[in-house]
Amino acid sequence: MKERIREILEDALPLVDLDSDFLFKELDSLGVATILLKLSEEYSIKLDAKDATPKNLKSLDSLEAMVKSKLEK
Amino acid sequence: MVFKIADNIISPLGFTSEQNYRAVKSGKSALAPHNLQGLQEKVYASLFSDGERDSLQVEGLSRFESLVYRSARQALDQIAGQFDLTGKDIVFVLGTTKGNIENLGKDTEDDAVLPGESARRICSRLGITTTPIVVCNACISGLNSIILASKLLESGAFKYAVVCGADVLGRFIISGFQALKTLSEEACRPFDIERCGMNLGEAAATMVLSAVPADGKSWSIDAGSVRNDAFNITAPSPKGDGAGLAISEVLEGFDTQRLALVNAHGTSSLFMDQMESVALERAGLADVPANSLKGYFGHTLGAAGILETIVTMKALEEDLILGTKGFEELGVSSPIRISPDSVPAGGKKSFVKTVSGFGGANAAILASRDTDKTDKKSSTTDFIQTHSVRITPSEVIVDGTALPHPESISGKEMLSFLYKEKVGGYPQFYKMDLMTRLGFIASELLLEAEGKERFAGTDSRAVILFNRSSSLTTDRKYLETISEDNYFPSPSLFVYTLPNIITGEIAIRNKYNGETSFHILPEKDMDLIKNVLKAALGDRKTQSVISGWIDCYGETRFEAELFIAEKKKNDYEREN
Repeated sequence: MKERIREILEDALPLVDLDSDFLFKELDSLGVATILLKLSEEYSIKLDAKDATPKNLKSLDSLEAMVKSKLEK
Repeated sequence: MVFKIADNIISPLGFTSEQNYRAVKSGKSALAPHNLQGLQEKVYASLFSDGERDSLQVEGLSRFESLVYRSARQALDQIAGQFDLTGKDIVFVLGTTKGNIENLGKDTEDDAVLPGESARRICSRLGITTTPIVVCNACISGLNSIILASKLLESGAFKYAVVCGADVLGRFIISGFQALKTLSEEACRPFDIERCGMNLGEAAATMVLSAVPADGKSWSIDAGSVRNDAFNITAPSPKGDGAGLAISEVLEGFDTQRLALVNAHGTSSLFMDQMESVALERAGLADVPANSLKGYFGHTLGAAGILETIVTMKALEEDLILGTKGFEELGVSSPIRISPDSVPAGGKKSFVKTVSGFGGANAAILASRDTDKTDKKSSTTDFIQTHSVRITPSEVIVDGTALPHPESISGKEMLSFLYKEKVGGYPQFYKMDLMTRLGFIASELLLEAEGKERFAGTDSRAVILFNRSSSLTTDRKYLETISEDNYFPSPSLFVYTLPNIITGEIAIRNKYNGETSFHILPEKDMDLIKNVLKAALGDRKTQSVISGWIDCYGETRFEAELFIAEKKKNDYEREN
């Protein structure tokens, strides 16, 4: 799943360093909205502003964990 | 350097500074969920109860004005008889983002909602007779008020300043922040890894400042700085440009080992907290303890800078750095020192207070007590006016010469005509509200007349504008978007209900990192405006100011009279 998320985000946010030690610092509000939208579409899950915490947006690993958590619900 | 000789805080946590401090020290928060009539979403905020509102109400004043009056009155009562309130050497400075805005559309005259008129009514009740100044600079309004008042006192224009910051909350303000998606549905968590937005709060806070100390233990405001990001009108600079500059400037020549803490803005918003951490690290303060008080009061907007400065002073008087309520795990990229618990200050009695806000504005002060009071900053500087522009719906005059335009063009179309003829290639122009377009075009004509190199970036030029009408035209338009039968609050309109956005747009366009401020007066008072500009140019770095008067009452009734104020050459040369 992590590699699929990488593929999606590399395509949607080509200027963002997805391997940053703190991915959130690389993002602006449009970047955050893009991530929530793309992951919602890909995994048919509901993501909204409450999910846009630095914890969830810390790294590709944390994004994967967030998606898995949503899929389990 | 100026001195605090009295203070007061009125918030849902208490009606005196001491009550508020004791509540915070005990860990109490005023934040709670509320369902307000006319809003479609629940709001988690710090609001006065109905009983508290009733007890604060002053007959003949609005809720906002009553709150300001009560706070200022309580502070002044602490020093009753020490000076003559009716004299010419006292100024009232009011910091607010929206003042009486909740009364807009409620069968009131324009004057009832204009902040300058509001300040004048409060002054009248207090017995202050000089012209009041309203600092309307988004969320930095409170701290900016302290800085402006300090500079006016240092420049010798006044001896005393009553500085009050306040905002009250209702449909207008809350719906706007909800539309911008910046609010958390739970208690805020400043700098935390799980933060997801801020909480609003209502309060008033007052400081009475004096050019001379009341006693050897007075707190002093040693330095203050306002700087712009020149990045975006709503998003903070990811590099912390403006905040970093403001902090570095107030710490110039100061040994940071003497700092007890940085009382940060710490709103718990995603990008602002992140930006602040970067700015603190860039300023070399990552190792200095930092805290945020938003978890106790929420973001009290115009009151925040003053309220949080007073609470921090009271805590340091007990050698305490207050804990950051809501914080558990660091959630910003720079390794700043935040603690959820209160910790000893180690006997240090100096701190930096910072705030940041929409329009790219950032402010910082350095305050201290019981330390060497060597004054290194006070100064006053004269200026010369080099170029001027006047725009009305029917005429455009640059340096005294009328610009030709087709007779058929007037009113709002005049601005579009000028944009196409004289500027072009800046599509952001079409997103601006009418008053911002007016200020933008006037600044463009002014800078064209000046003929110097543009867009190189500088922090030596300030943008300080004045008016009477605040953002009344756009306020009315925004109000239409939250009518009960058609509730669809517009985030883009809401942003332009902050008049200082004009100064931010000019700063962004020209890459100006200098001071940007917007002040509202009850009437055009050129002597007062000159005093404000002289005080601003007393700042060592500021060499020139784009300034002037800009009012907008509608598409066919507006006026901009802008000019460039250059620091007098002999002053400039002495410093270089």
